[in-house]
Amino acid sequence: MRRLGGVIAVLMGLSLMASVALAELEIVITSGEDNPSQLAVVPFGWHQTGFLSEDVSQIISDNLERSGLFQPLSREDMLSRPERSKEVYFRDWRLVGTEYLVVGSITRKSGAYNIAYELFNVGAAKGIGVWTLEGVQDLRSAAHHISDVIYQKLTNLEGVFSTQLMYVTVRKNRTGKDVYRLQLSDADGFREKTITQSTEPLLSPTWSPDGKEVAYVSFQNGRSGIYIQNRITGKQLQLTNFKGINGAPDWSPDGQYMAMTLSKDGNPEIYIMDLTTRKLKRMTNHYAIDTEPRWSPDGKSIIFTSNRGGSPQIYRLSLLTGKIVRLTFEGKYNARAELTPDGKDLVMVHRRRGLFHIGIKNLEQDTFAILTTTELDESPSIAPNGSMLIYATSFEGRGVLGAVSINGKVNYRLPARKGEVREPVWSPFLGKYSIK
Amino acid sequence: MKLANHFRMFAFVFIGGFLVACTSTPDEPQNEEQAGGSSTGSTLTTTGTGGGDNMVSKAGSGMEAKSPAEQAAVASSVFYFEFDRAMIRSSAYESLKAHAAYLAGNSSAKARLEGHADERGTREYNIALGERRGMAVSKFLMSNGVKASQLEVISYGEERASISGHDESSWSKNRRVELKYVAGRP
Repeated sequence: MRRLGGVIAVLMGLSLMASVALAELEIVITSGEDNPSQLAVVPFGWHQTGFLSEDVSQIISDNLERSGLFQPLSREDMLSRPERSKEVYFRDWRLVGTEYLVVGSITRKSGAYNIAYELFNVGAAKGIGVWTLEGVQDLRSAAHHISDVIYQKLTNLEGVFSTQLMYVTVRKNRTGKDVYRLQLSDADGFREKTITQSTEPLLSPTWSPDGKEVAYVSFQNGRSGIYIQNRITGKQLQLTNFKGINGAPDWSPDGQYMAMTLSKDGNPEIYIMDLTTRKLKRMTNHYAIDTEPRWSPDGKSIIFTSNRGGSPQIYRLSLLTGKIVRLTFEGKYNARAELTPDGKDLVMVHRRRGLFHIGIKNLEQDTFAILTTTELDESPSIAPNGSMLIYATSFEGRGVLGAVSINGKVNYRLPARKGEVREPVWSPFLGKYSIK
Repeated sequence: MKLANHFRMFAFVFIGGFLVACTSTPDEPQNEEQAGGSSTGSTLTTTGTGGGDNMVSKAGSGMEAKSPAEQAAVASSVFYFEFDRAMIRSSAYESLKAHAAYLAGNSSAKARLEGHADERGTREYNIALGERRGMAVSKFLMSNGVKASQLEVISYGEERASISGHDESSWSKNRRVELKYVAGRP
């Protein structure tokens, strides 16, 4: 008995240490959907010796809660803890108002884990799906994968729990100098790692469409340059080193071209570089500022920020006709826009009464809404399934990351533990779950 | 003659005031420096003997006695701008001319013009804005005899704030161009 108590204390201590060490960013949900579905993720069974490095069912529960669409039942309110379908009594779950139930079990065989799990519709008293993951090495990635499967089954939308976030952090070093770090983390902010760092500014990170490479602007050589880095090998190459601005890189959806801002001809203009031949094509020609190019998801146009009308607004350049049309007329500051995957909505930084928010404009219905209540909001980046966007904002005088659903209802915050965190960019889908 | 001079003076003040009114956006607070700049009513055209602005008051009328190097050494090397604007304030002309005179007379001297923006708005737009400010200073210096090869404009946008506060008094100090000699410092 005493020995068991000791083991539990050690386990609790270890799990506490693990969570402190891992949680570079801690998530605070500030609002959710009006009527989220009631869901229960029962702790997955584990009956072999040793303890698991990750609480798989808790990760799944936290992921689904963060989507704002689900309200997970807390473990102490569970009347039973089934691990497979024959142990499920729907009555136990109806009593506490659960609509969907997830149960599962983990076993270990020849150096890898197998995870069997099932999803039930409590109201209809029937199973929705049964799955088995075999040969799992990395329990956290497996938990994200399971979250994606459940989310897709219940919403018909591809989940983004296995995607990654990239962002820039800035911290002072011992001599008081700012250190810029380009960081990657899981979509929930855990498992942060640095991919490059410099005491010179780093900004405008972006993903290649296949997620294998990233590009960014670095002042590491004393002036701005666009760099491409392999996310896996870390190999870096300098793509541009022109006089003046080398900024705002954005890959074409087919991965063949890079849109960018250069001022080598005396004024910030939009260019497209063929990444095979390195040939440049100038796309804009105006004495005003033209910057922040972003490809439309269909690759047929580029949206960008220009102050050619006297204040920064969003314009669209058709790559077929070369015609430029203004897209935003709301207020006097709209910048750094990005289109949703279906191309129907435009999200941007919008200024109202001196405060900067994330705005969204539906291009078909010509409606405009403000998505965020914070101020100094920057850099909206839309999740690859179009459900949420992540942005940089300020909280208690520091740069932090916030996320908001495209309908504005779900909101959560990922505070930085140390220093500032800026310019988040959501990765594309990173391919099928790979068992490693 | 005297009347004509008065009229010209009036015209300068009037046009100066008009320009200030144009450059400010209605919802942006004005700040003291700008008020100071417009009150001198100085020099849309040239010579700038007035100079009675707080930023360059040290120079004053004794300036003619000093060498260009001495004048450049004491002249202000940070120049401030309005929100989302890249127009040089008239209060900066005196100092800029001192730098221009020195650079024009010392072809081996080189300067870096570092453009900056305040933290509001987007980072890449602010990089562009910082460059515009740097280019405005560069053009002013070149129109006063400095060669393009003596100047380099680098924009940091909002990356290198000089003051970390989140209010107009900090922002107004961060919207700036810093002139830094990289060779042949006066």
